[in-house]
Amino acid sequence: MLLSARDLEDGARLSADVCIAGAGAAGITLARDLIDSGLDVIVLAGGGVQPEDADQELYQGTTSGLQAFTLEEHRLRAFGGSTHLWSGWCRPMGAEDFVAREYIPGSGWPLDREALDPYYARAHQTLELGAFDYDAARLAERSGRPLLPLAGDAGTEIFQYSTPTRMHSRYGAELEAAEGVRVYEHGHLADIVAGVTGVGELACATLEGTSFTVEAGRFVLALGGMENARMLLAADDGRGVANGSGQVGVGFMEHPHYYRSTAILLAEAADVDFYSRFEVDTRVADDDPEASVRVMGVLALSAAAREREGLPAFLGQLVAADLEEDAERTGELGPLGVAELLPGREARGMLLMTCRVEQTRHPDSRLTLIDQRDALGVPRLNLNWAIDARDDRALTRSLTLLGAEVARAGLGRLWLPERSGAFRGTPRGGCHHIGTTRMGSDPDRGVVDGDCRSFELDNLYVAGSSLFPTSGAANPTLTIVALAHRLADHLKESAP
Amino acid sequence: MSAALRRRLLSRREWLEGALATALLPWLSTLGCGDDTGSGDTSGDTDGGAVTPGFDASVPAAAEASLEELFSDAERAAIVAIGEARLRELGEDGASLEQTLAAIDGLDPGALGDGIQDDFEHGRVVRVAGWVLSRTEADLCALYALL
Repeated sequence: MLLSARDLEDGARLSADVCIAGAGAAGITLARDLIDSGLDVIVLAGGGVQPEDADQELYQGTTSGLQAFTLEEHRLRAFGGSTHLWSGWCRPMGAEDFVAREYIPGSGWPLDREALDPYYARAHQTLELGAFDYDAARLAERSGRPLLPLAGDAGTEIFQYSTPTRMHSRYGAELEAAEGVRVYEHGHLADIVAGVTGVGELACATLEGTSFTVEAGRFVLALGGMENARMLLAADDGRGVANGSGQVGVGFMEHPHYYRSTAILLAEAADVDFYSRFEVDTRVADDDPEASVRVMGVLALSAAAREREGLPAFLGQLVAADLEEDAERTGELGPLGVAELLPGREARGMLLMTCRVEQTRHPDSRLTLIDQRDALGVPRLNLNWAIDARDDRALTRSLTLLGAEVARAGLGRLWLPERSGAFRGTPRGGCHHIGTTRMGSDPDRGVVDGDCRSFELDNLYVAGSSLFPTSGAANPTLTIVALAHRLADHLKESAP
Repeated sequence: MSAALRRRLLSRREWLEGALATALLPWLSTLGCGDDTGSGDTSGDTDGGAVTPGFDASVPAAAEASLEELFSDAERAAIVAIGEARLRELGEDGASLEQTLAAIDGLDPGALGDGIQDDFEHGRVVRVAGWVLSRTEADLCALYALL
C-alpha cells in the first residue's frame, strides 16, 4: 500500500514486524522481497514520488577538506531515493575486494564474493540488466568488436548499464498492490529511540508538523550512504546509538574521478568500439534467453598485478579527445601541452582516459554532526572528505604499469599528470558515499556484522553503501541491491 | 654531461636521428598515421579499424630520413622537451646515457625496436614529463636534447 504520512494523526503509533527507514535502491529492494513473506512491513519514504525542495533541504550540511560536492547535490530524498539521479553503471566488486589485504587499510569483508554471487544475479534482475556475466572476452566476441590486445598486468573489465531503473517508477505499483507492505510517503525518520538491547521505536515526522512513532520487531536503516551514519550519530537526542566503537561516520570513502585526465597517444588508429557503450547480447550460452544490454569495456590492472604491487583498484574509461576543450578546461594535459605538442593528432589517434579510483580508508575522512539542525530538529552533517596521499602515488604507479603494457602491446604511449611521483589532478566525486557504517567480523572492525546487524542493538540492521568496508572501484548500486536481497533473505529466515 | 659525450653525439648525429625516428615515429609523428586509418574517437563508427601491430616495416626506411622530414616542428620540440626533462631527472649522472649509447650505438632500426620492446617487457620503464617510456627511448630523447 502507498500511504501518506501527511494523513496520519499527530501522535499516531504504528507497528509492524519490520520497519525499513528509506525507500531508495536498498529500501525498495528489501520491501519487494518481503512481500508475501508473512511479515508486516512499514517503509518510511522520506518524501514523495516527486522530489520536493523542502525534503531535499533536509540534506544540507557543510563540507571541509576536499570541496568536490555539496551534501545535497549527490543524493535525492524522495520515494525512489537517489535512483532518481542514477546513471545506471553496474559492476560487481571483484573477489579480491572482499579479502583482507595489508596494503588496503581496513580491508576484509565478513563475507566473500562467492556468498554474494547469487544475490548479484538477483540484483541483475532487479536492475533490469543482462545476464550476470562480466567476462570481457566472451562479451567482446558476442559483440563482434575486438578487445585491445592487452595482457599480463593489464586488461579489459566490463560495465553493464541499467536503463537505468528508477525504483519508484518500476516498482511503485507493485508495492502499492502489496497487502503486507505499507509505504508512507513524506514520512521522515527524526530519531532512533533505543531500548534495553535494541531499538525501541522510531520517532518520525512530516515536514507539516505531524509526529508519529513506529514500533517494530526489527528495524532497517536504508537511508543512504551518509544519512545512515547521520541518524546513528544523532540518535537518542544526540547521544548516538550503535556507536560504542566510535566507528560511525569514520572512514568516508568516495570513488575519486579524474575526468579526461590521462592520454593515450596511439601508434595507429585502434578499434575501440568495445570501449564505448553499445548493446550486446549477454547470453552465456547460445540457448539462453536473449538478454540484450548495454556494456562497455574499461581498462584495468589485473588483480595479480595489484596484489604484487600493493595497489588499490582503478578503472580507466576511454573517451574521445577534444584537445582544445580539454586543454582549456582542465589544463591537465601539460606540462608539454598535448594540444600544442601534437596539432591535428586528436583526429588520428589520441584517446583520453577518465580514471575511477578506489579510495582507501582514511581516518580523517569522516562525517560529523554540527550545531545546525534541520527542520525536523536533526543535527546536520559536516563531511570532511580526505584522500590519503598514498592513493595518489598508487594511481601513478598503476598508470605506469598500464602505460608499459599499452606500449608493450604496440598501442602507443600513455601520458599522465604527475608531480613528484603523485597523480596531479582534481578529484570529483562519483556520488558514491561509502564506508561510514562498515561491516566487520567483530565490533572492533565494524558497526554491523556480516548479516548487516548492529553489534550493539540486536534488532537494528543497516543497508546501503555505508556498509562497504572498502570501496573497490566498481560503482556501488549493484552491490547495494545485492546486499539488500541478501538482507531480505536473512530477515525472512530469522523471523521469530 | 661530459664534453666527450657531446662530441661523440655530434659525430653520430645522423645515426641518432635515425634511432629517434625508429623509436618515436610509430607513436609520436602524425606522419606515422595514414589519413585513411579511421579515428580513435570512441563515439565514431570505427568498425573494422586496425589495431596497431607495433613497429612496422616502414620504420627502417623512415629511419634513413632526417628528423626534419619525419617530424613537425612541434613534434621535434616535444622530443627536445622530453629529453630535457629526462636530463633534469638524471642530473649530473650521465651514466645512464653513457650506458644507453654504448648499448645501442650502431644498432640497426630493427634491433633498436626490439630493445625498446624488451624494455617494456622487462619493466625498464621511466616516466618523463608524464610520459611512460622505455628507458632507451627516454635516453634517446635526452641524447638528442644534448645536440
